[in-house]
Amino acid sequence: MMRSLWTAATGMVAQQMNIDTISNNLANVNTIGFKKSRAEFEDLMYQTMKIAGTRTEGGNVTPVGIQMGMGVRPMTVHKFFTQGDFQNTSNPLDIAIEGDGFFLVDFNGTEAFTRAGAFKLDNEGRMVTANGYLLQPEFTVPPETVNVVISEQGHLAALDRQGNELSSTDLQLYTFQNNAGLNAIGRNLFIETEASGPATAGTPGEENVGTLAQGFLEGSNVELVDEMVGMIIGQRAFEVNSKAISTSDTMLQTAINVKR
Amino acid sequence: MQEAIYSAVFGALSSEHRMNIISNNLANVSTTGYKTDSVTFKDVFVPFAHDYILDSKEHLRAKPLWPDADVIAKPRLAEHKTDFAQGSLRKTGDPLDLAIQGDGFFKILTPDGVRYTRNGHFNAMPNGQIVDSNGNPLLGTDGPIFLSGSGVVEIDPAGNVSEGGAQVGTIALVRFDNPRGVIKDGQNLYKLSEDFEANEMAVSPGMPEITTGSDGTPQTRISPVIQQGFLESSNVEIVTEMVRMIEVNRVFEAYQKIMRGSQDMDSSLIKSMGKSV
Repeated sequence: MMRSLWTAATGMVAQQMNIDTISNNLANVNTIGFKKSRAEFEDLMYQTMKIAGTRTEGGNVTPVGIQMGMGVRPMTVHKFFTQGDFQNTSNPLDIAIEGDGFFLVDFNGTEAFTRAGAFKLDNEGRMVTANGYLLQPEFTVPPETVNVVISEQGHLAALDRQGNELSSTDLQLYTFQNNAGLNAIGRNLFIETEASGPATAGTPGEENVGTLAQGFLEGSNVELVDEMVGMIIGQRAFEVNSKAISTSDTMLQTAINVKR
Repeated sequence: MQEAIYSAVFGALSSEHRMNIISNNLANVSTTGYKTDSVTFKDVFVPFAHDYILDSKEHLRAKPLWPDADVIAKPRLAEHKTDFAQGSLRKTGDPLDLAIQGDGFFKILTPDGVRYTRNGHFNAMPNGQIVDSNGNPLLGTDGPIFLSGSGVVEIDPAGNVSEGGAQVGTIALVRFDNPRGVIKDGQNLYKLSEDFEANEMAVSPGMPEITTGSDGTPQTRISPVIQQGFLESSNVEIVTEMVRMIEVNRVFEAYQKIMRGSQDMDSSLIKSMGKSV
């Protein structure tokens, strides 16, 4: 009797995590470059109470035994790196990546990767993320610049009034064998792990690293309808597990009532 | 004393086990590729000779799950059944999310040996190997499959994995001649039952197969196909499980009433016997 209480409790815990993941997706529905997550579950171990294949009273072989499952546990929260929608901002420092690559930024001395291409200039004219992390390679816009242009292939140039290049650099994009293995550290940043594999630098436009689009931002890839449906299913699954707990409880109460 | 109280105890215990299984189904309502379990009961209402023959045990010191049946009705668990019916497919769009439509399993190589699964949620490791969420490699027809990361991964219904147009492997799908010989191993995996024989049979996905039916006539069946970008939901039907739960609850209550009634009969018997003296 107590087992079903605990089994149903694992179901409630799992659904809670499901809803937590969905909530985080919904909270980030307007976050630039956000990638949605999905919780995945697996069944727990089984207790074998009767082995299949034993001889029955009649001398036949039992086709199946009795196995009792112990519930569910969260297995992974998988991040989906599908392309988000593009928003036209016309801001010259907004860059969207059309493809699989990431920008490299300097996160307090660590290499971090981002898809959020809303860059700003700091007080020295260097290109930084909204949190002030430097875009790599570092690029400083001279004070007399009137326009910054970024080609699809990553050529980043500061132009003066006559259209002459004052300074320029070539941006590279970084790809991973297993994007889902990246460690999200918040602030729209990811860092590489053993599971993601090392970052491979690539020139935009080559292979599948993607090309750059100036004046655009990549929105989050959260699909509101999907998340709402997921939320409803999660809520109902939570509810049905709580019903299993209350039924087990009623049965316990009944059992206790045997002795009056 | 009344024997009825013991019959009711076994009935109540069986209901408890049934409730455990229902709880497990409900807990796994969101588990990818999960298959519903159910149990059946046997009654031992009349004294058959075979009631006195013991079930064989796993090892000598194993205690029997239930005491041996006596001549009075004492329901016991008979067997446990996994319903391998197809779960609904839900679209995810991830290139390494695969769902099997039809009857079949993926092969996974775990440290404990080959396991089978219907959970098609795979990832590519940094070395390109396709693995499940626990890092165990997915087996192809020629062993594990490696991706180079050079292009878009496409997996056709027959399980051929191609990357940027070049084929890198074929996913192995298997079926069993006796589906009841595969048992659950947790972590979304199935294994072959040690005590019951079942042979795996490779299937060629998407190809019509000709088998011989039980009456000897050839029958054509469509073998399973792989759907890329989809996952198979669990096949737990909440309504069915809720109804079973209500049933179990009420049955349990009925057994309690039997225990009560039997108790009452005993106590009234003792009282009336006391009076007559």
